[in-house]
Amino acid sequence: MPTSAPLGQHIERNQHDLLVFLSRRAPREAEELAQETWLRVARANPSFQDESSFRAYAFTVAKRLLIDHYRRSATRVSLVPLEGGREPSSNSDPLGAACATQTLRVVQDVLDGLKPELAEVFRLRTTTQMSFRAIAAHQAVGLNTALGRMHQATKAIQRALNQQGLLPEVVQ
Amino acid sequence: MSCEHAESTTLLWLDGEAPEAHDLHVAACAECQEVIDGLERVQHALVPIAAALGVADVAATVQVNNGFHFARWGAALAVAASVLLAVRFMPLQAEVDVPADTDLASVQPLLPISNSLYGDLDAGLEDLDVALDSLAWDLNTL
Ligand SMILES: [Zn+2]
Repeated sequence: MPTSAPLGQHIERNQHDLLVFLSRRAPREAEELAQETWLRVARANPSFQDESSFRAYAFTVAKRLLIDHYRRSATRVSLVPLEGGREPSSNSDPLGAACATQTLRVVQDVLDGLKPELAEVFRLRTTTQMSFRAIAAHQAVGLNTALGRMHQATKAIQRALNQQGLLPEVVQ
Repeated sequence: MSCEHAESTTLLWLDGEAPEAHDLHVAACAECQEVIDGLERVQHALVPIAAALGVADVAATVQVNNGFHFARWGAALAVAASVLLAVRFMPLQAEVDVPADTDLASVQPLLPISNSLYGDLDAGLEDLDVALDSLAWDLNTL
């Protein structure tokens, strides 16, 4: 019967790839997110027979941290009123600004076309720190309803952004 | 979707509100992976435009609602405080006839409590119960 490799060996074999994965998505925070990922993995100390299962697990933990990081970043951005009205931040990058403007238009079009309660769940979830339970309470609906609304809204926005080539590629 | 978790537990897992073992499920489930990959990409695309999404209005509404909760919390705490103060300053000594030359060190600490004091305490505790029920309701709906 095969024995699982020690956790340290698993981490050693995957730490470079994980850092590359995070650097592509959040260059400035990649190191920090990688450390947090390995901390969580070490705390959970899962036992895997094969390398690919461990790798899938570690990248899953990293994605979860990444989603949380994006959400916190979006919250910070939305809390700072932008000069000259509600325009996407340009960061002195004309291409980035053009892309952001187009993304905004697509997202707003989709949200306008959704039922208001679906659009509201999506907005609250992606640009505030509210939990799903808090959003469900705010809308006076059950938790599963709020989760279902989020899922539907995300799918619609994902589809629309994909059609316009505005979504970052999934690269592992 | 054939995975029952893809639209429910896996989204809750992002809030840290699913059992830790759900990590293992997500890692091994293609549908849950698809859901989090989609969310990751969408959330990434939203970072530069979040300020323009008009959430401030919605967030303000939520803050007003949360203010309502805090008002109820405040009221409940005020009731709790008043009950404690009432108990603290109840004139227990006045219920007992202690001669002036009594050595206070010899007086038993357990003093009789009048029926009216029990009545006041009961009323106070009922108020406290109502306040605690209200707090529990608020916590459940947070
Ligand atoms: Zn699943």
